[in-house]
Amino acid sequence: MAALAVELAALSEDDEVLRREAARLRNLAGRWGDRRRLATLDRSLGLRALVEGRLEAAIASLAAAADVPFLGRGLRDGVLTARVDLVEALVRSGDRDAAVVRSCGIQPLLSAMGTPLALALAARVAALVAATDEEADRHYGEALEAHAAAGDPFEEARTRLLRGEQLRRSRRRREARLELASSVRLFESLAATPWLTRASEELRACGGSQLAADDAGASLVSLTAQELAVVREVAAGRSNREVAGALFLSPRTVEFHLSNVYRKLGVRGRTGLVSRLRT
Amino acid sequence: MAELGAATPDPSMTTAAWTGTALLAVAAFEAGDVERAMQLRAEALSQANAVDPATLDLATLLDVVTLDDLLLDMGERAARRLAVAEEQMGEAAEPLACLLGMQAWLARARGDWDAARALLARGRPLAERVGATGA
Repeated sequence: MAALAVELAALSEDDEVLRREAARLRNLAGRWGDRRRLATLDRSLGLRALVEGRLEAAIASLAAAADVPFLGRGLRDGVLTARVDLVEALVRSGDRDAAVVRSCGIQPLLSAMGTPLALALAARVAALVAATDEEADRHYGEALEAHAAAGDPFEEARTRLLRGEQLRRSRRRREARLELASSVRLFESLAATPWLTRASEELRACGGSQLAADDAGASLVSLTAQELAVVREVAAGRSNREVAGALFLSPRTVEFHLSNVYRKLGVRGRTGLVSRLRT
Repeated sequence: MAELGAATPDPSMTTAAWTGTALLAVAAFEAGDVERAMQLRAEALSQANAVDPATLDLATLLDVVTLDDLLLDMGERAARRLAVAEEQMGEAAEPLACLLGMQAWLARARGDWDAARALLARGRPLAERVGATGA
């Protein structure tokens, strides 16, 4: 329970709570020489440093957890998850070569696990070290498909944030805003404050200026995850029937979601929606 | 392997037939043999899912949910086993603290962080009271 408390504190609480929980776990795990829980501690602290942009500290903490010579208990513990996060930290720090080496080590393990979350993380790692935008697009697509079955909104939000950043760098601002708005929405639902701050900054930088009420990006934040999924499909030019097939919904449900979207965004019909997303 | 050592029950107390398979899966994963671990895990979970938890005595059921936790089984049937165990055990503090810890991890994994926090808030004082600080 102490390990989970640290993880939740690192993802959502203020520095004081995190310090207190971290000291408690360090004391417990240190007393028993429990490297598995110490890895979870290092990973949690590394993740907090990562979201705050303290990349040197993030890499040091994540590497400490990632280099433990056993795998722990899957994606619940810090070892494997730190290996995934370390790839992101290295890419952000500009050390792509090291990120590629790390990704080669982690991907076969995640693929062999074969669970939806493991596959989503494997695809995210592949997208992070992709050599081209096309390759990154493909891997992010695979990651989001796997996330839909994985049921871990935090990791899905992180993938959407990374995807949004990549789209913004590629000057595909409309698509970027959709991903970033989804990410904001998910982090908000979890009260993952440091991540919410980060994703909101990205959304603003992408044209969702100051989350003002009349801003397209901000309005997107008011949509539910299902409504955003429908909007993404419509923005890609799909018909209602195609959207229904892609999202495993009935056409009537798609119509229902779209009518809510029109109302929330204050637009009239599909043309108005697409035009609004272009702004 | 340390986890395996700690989790291996006294043979006379071993009640779930798939205990050996489950612990081998955990050990294989720890050692990095993920493919083998996943095969063993699937075998163990298949055996666990074939049993109706309502027909098990509490001691056996607690063994089973501990194995589910070690195998990180987040399926509906594992959730049902956990719910039945909690229902049967009443207020016995130590096992209840462990079950609350397991439920908290499951809640965190499915994105229900409020439930995870609430379960921690309920389970940690219990764990401290009985000295189960590793829970």
